[in-house]
Amino acid sequence: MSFGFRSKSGRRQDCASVSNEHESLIGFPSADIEALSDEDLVAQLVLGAQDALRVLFQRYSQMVFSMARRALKDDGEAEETMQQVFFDIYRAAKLFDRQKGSFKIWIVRYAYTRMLNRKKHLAAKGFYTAEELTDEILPVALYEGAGRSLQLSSSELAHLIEQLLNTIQPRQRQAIELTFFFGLTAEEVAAQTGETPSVVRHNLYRGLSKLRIALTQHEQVQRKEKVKSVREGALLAYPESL
Amino acid sequence: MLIQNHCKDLCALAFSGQLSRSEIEELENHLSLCPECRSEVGDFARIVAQMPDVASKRNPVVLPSGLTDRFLARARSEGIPLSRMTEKEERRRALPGVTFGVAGFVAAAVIITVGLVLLREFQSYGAMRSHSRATVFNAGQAQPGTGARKAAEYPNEELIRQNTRLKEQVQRMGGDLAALEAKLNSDKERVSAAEAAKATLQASLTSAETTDAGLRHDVSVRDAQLAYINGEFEKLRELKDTDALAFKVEESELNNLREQVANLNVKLRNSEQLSAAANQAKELIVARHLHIVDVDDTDENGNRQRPFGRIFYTEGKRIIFYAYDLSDPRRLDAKINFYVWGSREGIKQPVKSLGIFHSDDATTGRWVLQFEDPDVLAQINCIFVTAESSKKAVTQPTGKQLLFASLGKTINHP
Repeated sequence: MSFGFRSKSGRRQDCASVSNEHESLIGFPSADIEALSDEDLVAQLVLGAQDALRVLFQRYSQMVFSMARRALKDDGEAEETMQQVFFDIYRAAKLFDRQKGSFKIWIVRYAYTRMLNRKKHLAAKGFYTAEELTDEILPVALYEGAGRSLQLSSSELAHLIEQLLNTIQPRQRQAIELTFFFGLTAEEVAAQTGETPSVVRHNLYRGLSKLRIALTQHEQVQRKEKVKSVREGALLAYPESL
Repeated sequence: MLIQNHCKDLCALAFSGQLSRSEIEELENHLSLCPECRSEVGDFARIVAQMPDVASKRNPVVLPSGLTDRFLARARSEGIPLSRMTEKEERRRALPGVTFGVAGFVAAAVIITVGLVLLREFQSYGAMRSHSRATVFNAGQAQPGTGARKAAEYPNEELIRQNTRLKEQVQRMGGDLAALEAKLNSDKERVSAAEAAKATLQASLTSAETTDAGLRHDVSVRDAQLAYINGEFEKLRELKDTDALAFKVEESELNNLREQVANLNVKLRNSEQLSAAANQAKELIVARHLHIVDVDDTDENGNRQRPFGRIFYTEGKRIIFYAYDLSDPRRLDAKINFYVWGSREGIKQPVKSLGIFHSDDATTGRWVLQFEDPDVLAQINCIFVTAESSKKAVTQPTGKQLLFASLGKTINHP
């Protein structure tokens, strides 16, 4: 029997996978490397600190495996996909630029692409090949061109998205959930819902756009309230400045 | 050029994995020209990146055992020499409740709960097994072959069912744990955000306090300067008051002195006048060739008129003419001047003006004229008075002659 728990650093680990073997990191104290941010770990990976990949694996294996498991509905396929994603990350680490987005966005993009790719191969040939992902498949330019306007934290975003999903139209929510929770293509969603793939795509981008607008508005309100509270605090401390 | 709405649709789908290659190229071309859409794509990237977390909250997936070990082994086989867990990580796993904070406590609670469930199930299984044994024993009496097979199979089926139930419980607990952990993380981030806001406010407060302290110091310095200036001002005011007092005293003394000087001047002038009069009187008294002439007027009937006069004539030197009651002293007329003229009897020549009488003593009605031109005096032997208008220039006598007097040839005063 095994179950997961979260370590002090907030990363999920697998109790059953614990090994008594211990190898110290060469040239980098383990305590230090575990305290690094995701983006710093990728930088260390580029510099040759390969154990940074182990720390990233500890932090994101649960997420990537869950994504793959929901989409592929098979533990073995999911585990294979997850391993491929981390090897992709390892090979492409030098392409990562923290100025253009967080590591999480980066790995999620790799995970989705690898996951969908594997599904296509499985659907077409009944088996998959561990082919290398190329820039032709990954929309690298999209990622590099992306600006960042939403400033909410990841956990706050996740919490708000979960709430906002209940406020949009059911067919839009269903399109989002089937696409991003279970990795279904538009055609697969259409087969489930009885709609055409173009209608599914329409529902998908309408739903995502609503989420984005609602999050942006929430952020603006939050920012105003923060400014207001800071101002009120300052006025409370210095009433003579009125 | 993309139509804007079409571009927005592509932005939303950029990370869905559902764009064709041509659509990706189309979007990339547009993004290179449109900052607004680049920003939107960034937002969608962040939203899509949270979808796995949202999905895990709703439907958590349990990791299969040995996942990490298999990954590490495969990494090594791929030429990536990753190490295993560190000692620190081992300790964390050995003492989760001590080392892992709140999450560790939650995990420990799950472990204990699962243990209790296992214990209960084990006890239940033990009781059931005893019962089965009894059943098998009884059945064995009638059907020994069948009973022995059931005794061998029944526990396995029951164990499988228990195992299934336990797995379901563990999965549910794992889900609860994941939800609790997510909530914990969310709370932690809120706390850290609140702490950041608090730190910002604290910094603002500190800055404001520093400014306030600086201002208070400036105010105290200004107060000290003001107090000093006020002190100096008071001193100056006192000095000014003292000076003003002294000035008043001095002014008073000065006025007294001025008054004394004025009095002395008056006295001096009186003295000088007295001295001059005395000298004049002395000169008259001691003059060798002095004529003293009393003169008055009479009317046609021979009655004496009111005006009269007395002339002191020092030959070739001076005439002093005193006249009395030329006009009524109560009705002094400023429009009239009394002119004194000189002429020579028996010789026709122009009359000489000797001047105008001026009032010597209004209370006694006395007038006086003094004339000291020797050349003119040598040319006259008689004098008279006329009243003339003061508003016009007078060069010759036009009015009636008054107090006509002949100076005479004989000296009548020794």
